[in-house]
Amino acid sequence: MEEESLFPVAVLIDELKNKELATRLRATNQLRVIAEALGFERTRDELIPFITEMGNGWDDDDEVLICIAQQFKDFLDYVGGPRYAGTLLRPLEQLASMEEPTVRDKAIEAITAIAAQLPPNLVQSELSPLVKRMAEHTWATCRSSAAALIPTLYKITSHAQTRERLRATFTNLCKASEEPMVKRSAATHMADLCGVVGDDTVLKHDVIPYFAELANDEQDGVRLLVVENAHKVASAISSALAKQLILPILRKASKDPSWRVRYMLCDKLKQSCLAVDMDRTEVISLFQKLAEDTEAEVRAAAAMQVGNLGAILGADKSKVPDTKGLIAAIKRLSTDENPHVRAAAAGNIFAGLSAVLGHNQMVQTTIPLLTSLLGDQNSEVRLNVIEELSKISDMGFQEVKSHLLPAVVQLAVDAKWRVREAVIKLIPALAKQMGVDAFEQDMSKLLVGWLTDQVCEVRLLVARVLCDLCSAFGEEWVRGRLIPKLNQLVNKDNYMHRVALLNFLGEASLKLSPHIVHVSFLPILQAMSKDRVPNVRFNVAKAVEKALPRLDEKTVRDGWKSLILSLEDDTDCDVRHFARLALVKCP
Amino acid sequence: VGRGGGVGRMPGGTLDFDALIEMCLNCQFIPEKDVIDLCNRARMVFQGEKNVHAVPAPTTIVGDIHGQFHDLLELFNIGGKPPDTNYLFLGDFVDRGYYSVETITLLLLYKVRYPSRVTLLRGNHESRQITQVYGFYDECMRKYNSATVWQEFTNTFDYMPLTAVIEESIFCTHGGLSPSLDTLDHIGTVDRVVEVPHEGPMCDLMWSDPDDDTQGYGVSPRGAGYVFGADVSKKFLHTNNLKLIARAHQLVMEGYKWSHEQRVITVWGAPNYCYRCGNQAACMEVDEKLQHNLVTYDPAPRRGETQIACTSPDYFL
Amino acid sequence: ELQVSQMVANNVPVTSPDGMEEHAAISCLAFDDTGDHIAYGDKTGRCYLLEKVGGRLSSVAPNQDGISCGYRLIDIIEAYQPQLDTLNSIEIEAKVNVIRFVARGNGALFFLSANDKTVKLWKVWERSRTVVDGEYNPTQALLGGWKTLVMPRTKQTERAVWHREARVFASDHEYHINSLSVSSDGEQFLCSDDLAVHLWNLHHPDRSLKIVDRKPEHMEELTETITAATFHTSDPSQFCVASSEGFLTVYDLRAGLTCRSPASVFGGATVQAENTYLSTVLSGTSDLKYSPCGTYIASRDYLTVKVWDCRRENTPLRVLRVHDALQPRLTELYENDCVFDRFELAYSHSGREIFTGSYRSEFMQFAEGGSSKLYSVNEMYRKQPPLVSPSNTVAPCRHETYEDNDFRHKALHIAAHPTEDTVAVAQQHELYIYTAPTRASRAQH
Repeated sequence: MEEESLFPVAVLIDELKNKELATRLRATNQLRVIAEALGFERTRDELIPFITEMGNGWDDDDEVLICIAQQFKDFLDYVGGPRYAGTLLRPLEQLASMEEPTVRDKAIEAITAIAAQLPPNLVQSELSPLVKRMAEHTWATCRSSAAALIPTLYKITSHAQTRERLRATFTNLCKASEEPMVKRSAATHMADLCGVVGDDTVLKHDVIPYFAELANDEQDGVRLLVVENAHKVASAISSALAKQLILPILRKASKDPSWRVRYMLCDKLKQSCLAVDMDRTEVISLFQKLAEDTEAEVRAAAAMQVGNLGAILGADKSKVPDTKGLIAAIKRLSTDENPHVRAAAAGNIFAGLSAVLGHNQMVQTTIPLLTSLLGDQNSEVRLNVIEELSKISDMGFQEVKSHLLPAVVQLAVDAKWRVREAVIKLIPALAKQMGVDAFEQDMSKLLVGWLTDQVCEVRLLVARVLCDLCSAFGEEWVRGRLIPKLNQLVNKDNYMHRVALLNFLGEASLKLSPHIVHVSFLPILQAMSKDRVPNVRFNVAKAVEKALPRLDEKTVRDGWKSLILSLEDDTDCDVRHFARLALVKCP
Repeated sequence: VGRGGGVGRMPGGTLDFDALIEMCLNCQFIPEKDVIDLCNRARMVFQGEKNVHAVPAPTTIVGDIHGQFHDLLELFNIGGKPPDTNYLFLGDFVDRGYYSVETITLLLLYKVRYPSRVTLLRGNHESRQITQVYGFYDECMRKYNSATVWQEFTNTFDYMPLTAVIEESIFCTHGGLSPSLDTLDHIGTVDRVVEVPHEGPMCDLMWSDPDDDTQGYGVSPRGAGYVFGADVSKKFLHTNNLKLIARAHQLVMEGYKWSHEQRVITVWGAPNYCYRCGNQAACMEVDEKLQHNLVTYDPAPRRGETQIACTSPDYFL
Repeated sequence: ELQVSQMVANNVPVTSPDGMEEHAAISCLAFDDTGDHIAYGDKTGRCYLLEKVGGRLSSVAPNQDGISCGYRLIDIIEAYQPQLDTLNSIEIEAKVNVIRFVARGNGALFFLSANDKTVKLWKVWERSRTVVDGEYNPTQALLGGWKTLVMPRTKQTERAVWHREARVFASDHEYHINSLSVSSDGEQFLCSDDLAVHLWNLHHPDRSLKIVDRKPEHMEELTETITAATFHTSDPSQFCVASSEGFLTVYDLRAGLTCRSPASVFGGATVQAENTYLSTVLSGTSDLKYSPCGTYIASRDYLTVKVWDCRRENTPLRVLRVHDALQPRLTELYENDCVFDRFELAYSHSGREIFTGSYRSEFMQFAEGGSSKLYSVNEMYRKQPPLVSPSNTVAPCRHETYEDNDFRHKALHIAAHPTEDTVAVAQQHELYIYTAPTRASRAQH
């Protein structure tokens, strides 16, 4: 290698011990570059010890430690192949014992990755003792990491006796006398172990009972993780075994004295029910129970699951045993005293009900529910239900929409501007369904009114929505219906409303035919170019700038050019600036 | 990227304000040397403005921002961005909130890019002393790792105008009136390019508060400036043939507050002040006929707040 | 019978309000779960860590104080600086209000500290550092071509005690923090201020949950503040909150996200004094502790310690009279602010004794059987064993009068060793360690 190309490497080495965290991180991220320059042997004998030792000296900056663990994950190729895995495993073992969980997790990830590439003799001589040391260590952090590593080791070990010993080691970590931190780790990695054990008899007698023991732990922090991971365990074992052993754990969790455990049951309801193939009747009664929980957080989590009910209960609606009970539970959630619960229900109601109801029944049930949610006093609930409405337009429930139109129109003047914004976003789809005439009758006045909304973002959105409508309803509508209404805005008192009109004209001239732009827009622009307020005048220039590229030279000479030139002579410097920008676009 | 340029530079090396404004609106920092150039340009612009800066209507009057950058963006959502909307800011851009650097950078960029659309007055927090105590200095050090940026900004503060008059009718200043300043001409004679003094007319403009229960001038509990009564406001408006005093400086829960028989309006631009006061904010839109419209607004929704549950579940895992 | 086995003086100089030079007073103290460590904080924002000689860290710490048994100072942490509350423009004192150890399953020690607004987690551990030996120059490293691309030479420093600010918990507290308590599973801790209790997860320093909120809608309706809060000794879901009105409220975390309805409520104002403002001040609970078995709660108010059976809400099991001799002087004590002193209490490891501090550098030991004993860190004041009264209330006999000067010598902070008959008492800037002599002599062999 050339000296020149090595200089950056020497700099990197220097930076490994830099005082600045960012510099150290950058250098640590490029360990491979250094390793490549040093070669296998020196990487093993010098670089890795240096990193390991310096790592201890860096005041344990977690970010650097995480970075080292990540680098070591794919580092076998740089130390001379799997034969030398030990060089990497030793520092990783230290990292897997740190108190910071993220550092441990990254170290475990790296050890797992390296383990997959190890030849059997190294599994014996390096990995096995490592796991044993960690599992028997006095530090709980080590034992907690051991619980994560045992499934990995189990998978690559074929020796029956060793496997038996590993199972015993793991199940020891589940015992009530263990520290909570270790038990939590065991609960989290139980599914991994079940996945590699495979044998139903062994699972039934040697492994799952310990999961059940964790489910009875006195710490709710442990029980919580059991419920979170129950579906993974159930999926890793045979369905018969899941039904026999995991289902009782879920049933018990629904009666847990701790709300956090019940919350977790709600949160993982879909995965859990599917994994243990829960009976439909039981799913419904469980859901009803959770929907009536004393804690609002649990009910909110249940409300979030409303949208998953279809997936849990299956496609065949005729097989749902207790439709009434289910509807009652959903109604209950959507009228809950807690606004978070109502908001969650509002955002899932359609998906939930369509899972169990036929079309007509659906329409009958949802209209009163949605109407009441649209009038909710909480703006988040209103927002969610409006978003829900935008989803159903594709689902073929036009009649629902037309029933709800009055309620939607009411929200057009909602005090919260983000609600108005959400309603306006519904308009294009609504307008397409209603057709020109119905829309003119019910909505068009509103829409032009929104162009003079107090909030700028609403006005900008309306301009975009109007453009969509122009394309949908055609130019006849623009000329006949829209332009007369817009003309009334030319003399609005508030200059911001006049600016909003100009913004629309600019946007629309990108979409409409050059003819209509010339015939209908130019007179408005000319009138407004003499406005008293400079902001209006330079917005005329901005609108013209957008229109010009679409007009031919002859049209431009017919009024547009002189309009721009008059603005270029304006007394205000910003008007002159935007006029000059427009002038550049003149063909 | 042109020669001598970089992001935010035009070919040839001059600042590309439109690009910098775009960066700033996306919450990106602009490089230190661009801040230095920006501050130089801003000082030149401010130097051309009088102590009593004449502002045409229409314009929107905004009170204290105090580094609540996301709420400033929410204000622009509601009121519109410059240059389409004109703004008159009453000072106190920095300190207390976590994003003073972003706030002052964006406002100075707008000021330099559209000097006749945006007016920035100086508040009592636009001061070296105060910013060292209330957070702006620390924030500059944290975000730029050197005191240069803070020095540049505070040197620029010295040049900001103290007051403004909209269409010879509405008098605007950060705090209030001063016993040593009876007329606008008086205010014009103050030598303003200095650090905010501890006392005297310039200090009073930035520190004083109106008080409905005071007659004449009284001692301010703030230890600087005065409290002044309705009679003072009445006399000042009469002497100078003005209609209204618009000022900021005091937290008002509804975002705005009338006092002195509707002769004084206080507007406040930082909703949920310090992220915990639970107050609304308001700005005052003054149209070309000098009619005013008070617009109140809530804090910008924070990320995660739209989530359904009150807590994210990982809290207790 | 305990005897003074050691005195540790905090000699950080501070200037008192009247301009006198003095040593910074100790403001809180705690034992860790092994009893091998004591941490205390002071008014200047420093935290000090003591370790029993022969412990895992003291072998590497320089033995500057020449102590061969008892506890040795092994680390000083500058935890807090005075800060400005920018909203209210008030200075936040550096003073450490409370320290609590966190049990952790690896070699390092962890403890939490809080001043008025901010909770921090500290890690203290022992290690030797690897440092680069001499200069490393990238240019010189290359002088002889790539084969000599040398790695920097390293050397080991001597083993030493290090500390690190492991976490700073976001300041969510509107009012002043008065207590910290770590749950028995070591995962969560609670932190209470005047009107709220926040629950934190030790791994999530960015947000807390306000589990108890007693802020009234209108502040003028405020009648009661929170004065202390503590987790149950073994049940991580149970905690108890004490108030300025003398109420103890037990909550169950499992019942809901926020604790709206208590599991049980004990106590209330029972102190009768001539004027009502005094009786209110006197009934305020300054400290509370669960007994080691978790069945009893002891609470300290100005004049007494009350022991409650968690299963019997109506009346205290025992009332231990600490300050009867002060009864006649209450008005005077109100005027010199002494009635606002917050005395702490401690359960002995066996649960059979309760210790609590008093004035005149004294502290009391109340035993299960009804006997009590008065200790004074100043032998001049050493008293005869007190009489035992026949009822379930115990009144130590102190006939003598108090001198004005006695009220300056407050033994506010007290903590007991978790497994041995050892008590640590702070009196101004001095920390006294009391040990049962049998233990002490046994320890020497």
